[in-house]
Amino acid sequence: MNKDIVIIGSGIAGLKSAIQASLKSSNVLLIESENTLGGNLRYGSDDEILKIEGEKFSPKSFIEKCEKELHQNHVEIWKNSFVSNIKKDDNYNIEVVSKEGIKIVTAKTIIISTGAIDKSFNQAFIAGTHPAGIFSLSTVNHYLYLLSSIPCQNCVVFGSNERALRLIKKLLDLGVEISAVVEKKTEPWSNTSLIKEVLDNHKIPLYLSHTISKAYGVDRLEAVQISKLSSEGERIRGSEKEIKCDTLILAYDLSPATDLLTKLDCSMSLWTKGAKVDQTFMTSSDGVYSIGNSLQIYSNLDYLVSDSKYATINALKYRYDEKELIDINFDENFSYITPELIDLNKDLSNIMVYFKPSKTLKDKTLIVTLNGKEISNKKYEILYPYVMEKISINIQEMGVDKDSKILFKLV
Amino acid sequence: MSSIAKITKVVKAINDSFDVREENGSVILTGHTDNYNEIILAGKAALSKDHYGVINNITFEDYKDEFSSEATIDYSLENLEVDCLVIGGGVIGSAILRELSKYKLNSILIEKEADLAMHQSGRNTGVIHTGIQFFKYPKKALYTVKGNMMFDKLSQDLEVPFERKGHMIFLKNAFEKYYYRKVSRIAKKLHISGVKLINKKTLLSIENEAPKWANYAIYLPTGGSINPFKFTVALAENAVENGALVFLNTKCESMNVENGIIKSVKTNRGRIYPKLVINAAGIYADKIAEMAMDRTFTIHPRKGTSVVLDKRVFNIASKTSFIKSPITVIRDENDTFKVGLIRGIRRLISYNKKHTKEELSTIHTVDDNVILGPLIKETPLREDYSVDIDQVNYILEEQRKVSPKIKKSDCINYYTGIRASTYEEDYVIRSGIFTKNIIEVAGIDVSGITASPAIAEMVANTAIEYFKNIGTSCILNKTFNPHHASVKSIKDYPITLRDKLIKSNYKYGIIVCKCEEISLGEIENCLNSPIPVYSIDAIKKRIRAGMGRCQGSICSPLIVDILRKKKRTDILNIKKSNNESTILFKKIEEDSR
Repeated sequence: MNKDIVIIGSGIAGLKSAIQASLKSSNVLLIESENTLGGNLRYGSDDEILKIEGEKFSPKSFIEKCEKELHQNHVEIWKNSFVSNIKKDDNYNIEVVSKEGIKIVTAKTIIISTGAIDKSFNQAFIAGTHPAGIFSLSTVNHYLYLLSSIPCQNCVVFGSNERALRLIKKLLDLGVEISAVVEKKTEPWSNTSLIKEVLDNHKIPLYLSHTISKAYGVDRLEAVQISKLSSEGERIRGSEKEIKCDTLILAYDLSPATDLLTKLDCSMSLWTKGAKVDQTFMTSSDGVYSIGNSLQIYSNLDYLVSDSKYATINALKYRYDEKELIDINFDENFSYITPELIDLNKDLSNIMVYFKPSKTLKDKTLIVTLNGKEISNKKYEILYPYVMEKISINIQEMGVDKDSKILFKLV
Repeated sequence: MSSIAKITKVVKAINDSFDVREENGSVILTGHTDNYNEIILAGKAALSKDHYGVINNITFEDYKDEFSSEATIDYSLENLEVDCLVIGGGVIGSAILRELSKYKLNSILIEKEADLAMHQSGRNTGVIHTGIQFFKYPKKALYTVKGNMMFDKLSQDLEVPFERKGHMIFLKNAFEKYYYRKVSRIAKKLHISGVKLINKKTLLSIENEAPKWANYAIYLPTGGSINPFKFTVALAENAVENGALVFLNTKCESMNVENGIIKSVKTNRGRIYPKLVINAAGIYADKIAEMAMDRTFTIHPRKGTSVVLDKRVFNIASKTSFIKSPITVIRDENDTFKVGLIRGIRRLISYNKKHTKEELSTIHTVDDNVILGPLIKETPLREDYSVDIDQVNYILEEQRKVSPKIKKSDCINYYTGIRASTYEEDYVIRSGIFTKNIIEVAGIDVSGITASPAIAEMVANTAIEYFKNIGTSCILNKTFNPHHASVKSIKDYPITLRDKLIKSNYKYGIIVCKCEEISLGEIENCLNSPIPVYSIDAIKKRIRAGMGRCQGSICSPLIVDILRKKKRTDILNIKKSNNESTILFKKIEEDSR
């Protein structure tokens, strides 16, 4: 079977990318490993409102609308289909496991939109036992939204990001007690109004610069121990405190799901933990693009949607070309920048660069230099480490060559 | 001075309040202390060749040494009469049950936990030892070497993944060849074949990721690795297929012993009347022996911490296949031994001593993960599986000397296991001394998996001997089928074969665990096995669903739902492991959504 373009994963990024592709091609395939489309959108309350391209949706209605559009545009959709491997010869041969058997799909271009996954319990290096009652956030969401069951009575939540607070809100509605929110960072990882609405109004204590250091309980969790962290991020001995709870929800940051990217031997970014891409979102594997949360953790839906579309347009146009890559460098005020690479043989007139600062920064100016000469700047009153920012740069007709040096600074 | 007087003197020197006496041929220690180390030291000091063993009853702090876990009570086994009752569903009990099923006997196994291999056998690295490091302990060495040789056939019969890829001990300096001479002498004595000293070139051809400092290595080709959990389950399931019975959640609570004969065994599910009892209770073996009034030994729990690394990011594991044996000599790269030859050798020996205790090693499992460990520590608690993160960090740091590429972020799991060691440090495998109808199989601490087939063979022979003596007929079970079809992971099948399988059962094409690529079909096979266990952990251990990078955060709710459907029960009844390990508390009412 031969396809113009194959999109793997059907979250917001995958859905939007498939629709975009179907406008230009009649030979598009969308692969989803679960039995329904939507990815993490499936874990959304009906009262949640998503603003996508100016329109308002509930998560469910958005999935329905997209699915309808995909059908109208004759996009082939395979649900319950798991991409087991991708092999490369002249084209990519995608091995898909499904109820019907193993199918091999051949395509010149692939879009990876497999989303992000929660880090596991053990990656948090928590000591003690491992009884029932320690869940990652997505596991709790799955129980609540897809199995209509409540896995907790009294929780400690590890992480103060927006996803964590949304879940807490939902749990409070269901009558679950929240004993504490523990955050490793020195500041809350979501905006003040949400913190106030969810935590302050319900008198839920927020422990900043703290970590979960130990879990207690043999069969079901009975308590957790929290410890204060020093400014170097080390546990301070003697600062331990025990909190009784039957559930620990691990809600710290997501990390991109990169299994397929690693199978393709794509070079990975040290900073985003996703693929290293150029300005068209193409990875180091020619014709393989990475979008959505499998590239970077988006905090802005509009960016996610427009990038997905932009990557798809480029993917459809893609034909093999010699690459001429230069790095984008950045200083320590950034936690990451993406793309990290610019391909000089591709469009240089409107390069969108995303970044997150490493901590909350006030009154800063972003300065972009090319070989030491300033080419662009932007003033920010405030930058939050959990909010992604976007800047567009134009380096066309500036005589950029492979020895040029581009640097991003926040001063 | 008599040996007991000598022992008394040494024990009193450790703590004056400890009492020593001799009873029924064993040394009995009593007293109380708040220093656990004193208990261990006293136990060690009480060793003597003139006694059966050490019964160390010194109490520690306010710690109560009791049986764990609350058991549900029913009378489903009340008045059950059996020929042979095996207590303990670890690898030893399961292997013995399988050997017994070769005879037309009425044999059963009881296990207090909700699944097999819940303690030492399940919390195990799965190393198949060569036996070289046990030369001081005759039984350990004998059964390990004998058991090791049985694995090729046994793993084929039971369809359990097994690899014999050899063990390696790295050496740095030329004078350390002294150590090889010692090892090869032991190997000759114990009949361990193929042991050789290899140079850097050969070393790199076998293990191309060897650290720079390793100039030589001792290569032990008989060393191997097996999945310990699958092996235990396969043994027990094969026994069940051949007519034996296994009862989980069944705890031995007490025994009625009259005139040196166990008349009955009380369990939480009724009173059982066995002709012969086999004590394979692992960490509780001394408790069971005491119930049977046949105790001559003490189990002192020894906790080991190990770290599991992710297979995908770890190139040592995928490209070369090797195991560094638990006697790996570990040292710093900069440690250049600028001392004289004799002092160097002395230092080498002390190095070995130190690390034989800790036994740190890099182990490549059959499932392609790398396990680092174990780091060993004495503990008063028989079932305390909590992990100390400092130990995890220590293991990672120490093993970086052997495998410099190890990163902290490669660590996907860590666990502890508890070994059932005796003070004698050797296995106790014997018929009852004071009670006639019991066989003790205790103190199987290290190398239990390796030794299990040899131990089982020996114990079954002893049992048959006993039955012959008491006039119970025990003819061979002619229909015994050694072959067990284990639940296989189909992701490694060639594509065409996998495709064919999916076409015969579409459920093989529905992937539930994405990290390990485990299908619905494989999960259902697990539940259709001779000993089905409906819990998340049971599925995880049997087919690795939920053992990958995300550690079950994506697939565990899916598996809960599969278990619910298959067991036809309410979703709230699905547990992580035993009955108390609740996952879900209540359902969301329609109107509150």
